Amino acid sequence: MKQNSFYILTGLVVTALVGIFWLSLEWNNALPIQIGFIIGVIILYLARSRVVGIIADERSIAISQKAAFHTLEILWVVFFTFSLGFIVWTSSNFFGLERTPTFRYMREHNPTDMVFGRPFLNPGFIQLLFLCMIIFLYVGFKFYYERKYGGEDTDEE
Amino acid sequence: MKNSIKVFRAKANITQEQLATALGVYRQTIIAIEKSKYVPSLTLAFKIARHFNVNVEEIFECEESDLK
Repeated sequence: MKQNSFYILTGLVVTALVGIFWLSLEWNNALPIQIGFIIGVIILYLARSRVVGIIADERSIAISQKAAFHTLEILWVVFFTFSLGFIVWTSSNFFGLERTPTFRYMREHNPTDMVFGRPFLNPGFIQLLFLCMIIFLYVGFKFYYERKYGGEDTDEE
Repeated sequence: MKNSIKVFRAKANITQEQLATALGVYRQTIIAIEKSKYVPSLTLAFKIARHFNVNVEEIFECEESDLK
């Protein structure tokens, strides 16, 4: 498989997943998008292993590794901080302390607040934010190390 | 880590692109190595030396600061 064919296939899979995501929302059923996403990832993984003409450039690999490592370091700290806060928020009464409303309480007693007022309190949105943060951090670190390991495309002398 | 890839490349009259293709890396990697901004792996260093039919020490020179 050529690299361009792989990009076209990626586009098709993403488009299909957007459609399946919409269907999942329509049917109010999470399974189609969850199963669809896993199948999509497997398809792309298998397709990528069949792409010919990929250069295994050691500098690019080293840059990717460094970027991934530092992204993971930051993500770990942020995620752990968030998790600690979440545990306190949802489990204070376990320790005999006064408790702020849980998602379930808010959904049952004040659904408009949950749906419209504070959508980002939805755990799915929060996790998506973390995933977006991973992408931004990774790309940022990639740029940084690309510059550090000086691969600027200069004219030959 | 100093290196004299540029000199050997000029002697062999080949471009960065040609050297990169021969070694199976991107041109950016050759640029980075020539500028001493990236230190290649031992494998790539040997590949470069073999490409020019010389010993690794003739192309790469280790400085005191590299050993600290």
